[in-house]
Amino acid sequence: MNSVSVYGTVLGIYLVALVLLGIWMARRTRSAEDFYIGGRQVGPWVTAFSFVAAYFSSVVIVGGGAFGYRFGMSSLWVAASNVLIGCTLVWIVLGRRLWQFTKRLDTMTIPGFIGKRYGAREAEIISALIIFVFMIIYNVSVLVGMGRIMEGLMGVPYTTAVLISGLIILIYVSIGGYLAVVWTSFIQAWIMIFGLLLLAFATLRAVGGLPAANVALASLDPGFVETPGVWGLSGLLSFALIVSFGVWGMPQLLVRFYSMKSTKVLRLGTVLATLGGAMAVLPYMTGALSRLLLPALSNPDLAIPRLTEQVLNPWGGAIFLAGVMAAGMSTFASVLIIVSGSIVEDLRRGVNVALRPAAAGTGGRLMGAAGRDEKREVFLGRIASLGAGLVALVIAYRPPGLVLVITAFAWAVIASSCLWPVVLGVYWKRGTRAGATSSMIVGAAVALGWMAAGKPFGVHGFIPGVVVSLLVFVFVSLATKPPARETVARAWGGEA
Amino acid sequence: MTGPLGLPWSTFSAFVVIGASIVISIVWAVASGGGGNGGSGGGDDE
Repeated sequence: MNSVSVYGTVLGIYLVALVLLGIWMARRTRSAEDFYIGGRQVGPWVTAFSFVAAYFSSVVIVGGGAFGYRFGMSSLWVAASNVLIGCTLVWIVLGRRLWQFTKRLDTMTIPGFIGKRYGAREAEIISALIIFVFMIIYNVSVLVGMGRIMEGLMGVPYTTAVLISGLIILIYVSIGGYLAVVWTSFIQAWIMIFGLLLLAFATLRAVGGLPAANVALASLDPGFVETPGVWGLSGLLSFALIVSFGVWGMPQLLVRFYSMKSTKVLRLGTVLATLGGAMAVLPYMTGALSRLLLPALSNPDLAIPRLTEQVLNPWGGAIFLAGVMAAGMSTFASVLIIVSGSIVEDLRRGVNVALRPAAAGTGGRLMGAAGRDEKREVFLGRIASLGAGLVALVIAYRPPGLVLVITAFAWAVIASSCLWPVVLGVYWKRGTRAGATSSMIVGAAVALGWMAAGKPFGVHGFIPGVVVSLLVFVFVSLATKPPARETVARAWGGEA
Repeated sequence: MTGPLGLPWSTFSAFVVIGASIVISIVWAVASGGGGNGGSGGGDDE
């Protein structure tokens, strides 16, 4: 068998298995709560490893390798911040509180949480709109990444690659909902870890081990092994923060906390997520080492695909390709279910309330638990996830240049707008409706404006976005009337 | 000054941070499993 046949065989088996898993999970999806958060019945292993799989997309694997190639071993600090801030600390600081608050407030989405926590329907709509627009754009970047690597390794035309991978995800997400997402992500995390380990070990063998390789890298340029080295402090620090602290405001990752079956899941889950997150070292380190084997690459994005061809046999390459596809698919699927929830649970509710203001006083969902047609809600969720996925697919099929530029902004905009309303929403009772709403709008605008201005001083837009949104949140909250006692009591329960 | 694995300490410390994260997660998991609602990871399930 030639390498393309091997890649096709391995990938074909893998994709069929994903669809079958989606069909199986559809049998356990009977309500909207099942569709969006798995009925809050997910255990520690699946929660932790699906978190890791959703966190590290194919963009991180291919892009992380490219950063390693360009900037050398200092990029290991990005992986270190991923593990400490993006895995360990977010689980410890937010896990339990987010689970409790979303349960008390009876909400299944981050916009829903923000809306009910602050008694601010406009904040719910704004965050849902930001998630809707920028999550779809983020998903375009994930699809483009998957398409490019399939094109590079298998020789499949880019458009075919995007269609195949995109449609498979659409099928299993729309059928199986959140349970399909987390269970496929759980399996995909292991494929990613195995594929990355395989490539890392083969690369280490090819370069004669890590100590010898580091000496060789230093002889090319000491900046390839030093920190901050050739990257520079502002660039390294701001990138490390956006891809680690940014997680604290990313709905597709935070949802893992309130889909757990109990807070006991957090204990083992935190350890497992930290261990799984440690795999972030592998793409950066492998990318840095690839400079020794591929010294004259014109495009650093080709470092990982070219390295795969050079150090792995076709079967190893096929497993690694499956790992990259797994990384992309798990992220795409996780984002899809979040966008679907934003459309059906948040935007639709907002429109309904606008049309029927009298219903707003209920405080709960318009289509509340009583009399709620769960079959219809699940059907709407399926349609919304299918629609959102198709939009991303169409854009990724022939991505306009502008969209590709905006993909670099998407993570920063979402994180800058959602982070403080979520974090302070579970820790600061004094946070007000006006504070949360203005913080979201200003955070998103500053992050977007900063990136559009070409990242002044080499600083990523997330940094000014998140700093300004914090200041706005605190000052506006303190300058406005404290939240109503019942709003605080509803969120804090016995602690109020 | 070169540290372990042929890396300067400024870069090798990234591995130390990852190791420390694993230790923190284990210590927190053990401590929060001790019962009661003391820590942010306490075991009450409402």
